[in-house]
Amino acid sequence: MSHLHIPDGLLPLPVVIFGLAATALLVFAAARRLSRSEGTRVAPRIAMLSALMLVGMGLPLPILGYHVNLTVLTGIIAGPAAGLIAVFITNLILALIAHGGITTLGLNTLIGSVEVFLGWLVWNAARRAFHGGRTFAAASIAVVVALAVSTGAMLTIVRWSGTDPDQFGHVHSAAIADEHHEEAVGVDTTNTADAAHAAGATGATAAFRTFATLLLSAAVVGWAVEAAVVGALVQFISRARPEILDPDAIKEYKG
Amino acid sequence: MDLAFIDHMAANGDTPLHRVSASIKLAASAMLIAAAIVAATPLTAAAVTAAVIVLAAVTGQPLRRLAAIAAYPVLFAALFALGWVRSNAAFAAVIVIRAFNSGLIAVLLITTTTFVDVFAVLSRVLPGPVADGMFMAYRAFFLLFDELGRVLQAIRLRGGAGPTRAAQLRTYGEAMAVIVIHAADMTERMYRMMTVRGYSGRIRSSGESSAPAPRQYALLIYAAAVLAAQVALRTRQF
Repeated sequence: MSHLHIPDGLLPLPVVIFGLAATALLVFAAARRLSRSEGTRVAPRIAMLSALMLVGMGLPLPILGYHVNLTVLTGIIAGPAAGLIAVFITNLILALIAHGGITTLGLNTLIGSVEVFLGWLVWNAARRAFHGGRTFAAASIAVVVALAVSTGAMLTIVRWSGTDPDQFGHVHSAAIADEHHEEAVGVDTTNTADAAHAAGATGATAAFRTFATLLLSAAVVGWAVEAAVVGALVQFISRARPEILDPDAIKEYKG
Repeated sequence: MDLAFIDHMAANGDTPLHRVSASIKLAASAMLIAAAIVAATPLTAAAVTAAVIVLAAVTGQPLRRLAAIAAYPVLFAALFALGWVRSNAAFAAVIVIRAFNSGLIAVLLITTTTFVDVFAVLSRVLPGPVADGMFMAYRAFFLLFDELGRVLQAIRLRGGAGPTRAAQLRTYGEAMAVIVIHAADMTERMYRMMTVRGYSGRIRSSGESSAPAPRQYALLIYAAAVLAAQVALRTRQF
């Protein structure tokens, strides 16, 4: 688990709809662009990338509970457009097989595509900086940067989407409001509604802090695991079949 | 990864749900997931769980196995829920139950519907490369997963992945690299094979052969009733 799927039913509906709409636009645009540039070759390539991401999850890593996503590797091999579609397909298949995130398919795809895009960007920058050598380091840096930013993006979505129990019904009772009454500094809590709102805000902040602490503690280990695996993987490929890491070279080779 | 079990169940199962048309099952699943999201208290969320369990039990599905698969997203949801436990335990419970419900609904759909049928419905709305990529990815997964199994077996036969965790991660990375190289070759073979077969950028699915029988709509009515009940409960802030 080097990145976390946002589960169903956590985020407000407008945020979920925004995620689905933005993903639909990006996927349609990427599919159109790739169909024009690569023709019928694009579908098998995307299929293999998605299958690789799914297979990567079956790799028995020695650290309990973790699996690799290979989103950064997908960015390195295929670039942002094909990578985005591959992430969408992987998330769709995962949602269908009860991996979670049916309604959050859009947001999870956007977060995954951040990893693809940054992976591709940082990998290319690092390769230039290392003059084409030190592939292990270049790939590992790309993984850590991409996963750190995508985790930040996910935390930002959860924090600023306004996940608020009051939106989901009266699960935030007056008793809780009273309990937090004094914690809500600077808010006029003479009114019960204001008190409940202030208490809810305080509770939400505390809940988010706990969640962020837990997530970051687990995520840092995940970044290290994925960086080690992808670094070794890319180093091996750069020695055995370097053309796989250079899509432009493949296009030239195939004429 | 339970994909092999799911695929086996979908292809070889013979329950009343297996015989319902894929479009009806997809529509019913969408309504049940909406009901799961609308449920705002632990009690109403648990009522959705009960409704899905009743559906699975009545139609003879392997409940324990389905529940075990559906428990996976609960692990993710629990991480979110842990943040809320102290300030609002009820909301934390709702987060976890909702994740379980959506997992259970998804697994009930996918273990009773072959991937080809799901693909046929989804390919009507997805762009060509995406729909075709999804179809081929599903097939390629099984081939690559078998290949990974063989590579890992070879590693075990040669004495294991290494003495330290760092060495093991490196070995597993290199094992995965072998799969990536295999996948690159497979992509080229698959492309040539499809070109020979006349692939022009869109795999045509035959779709459903006949209109669904009237009794199949009972599933839709059931799902609509569950959703309507949840909306009513939500409106009354039960």
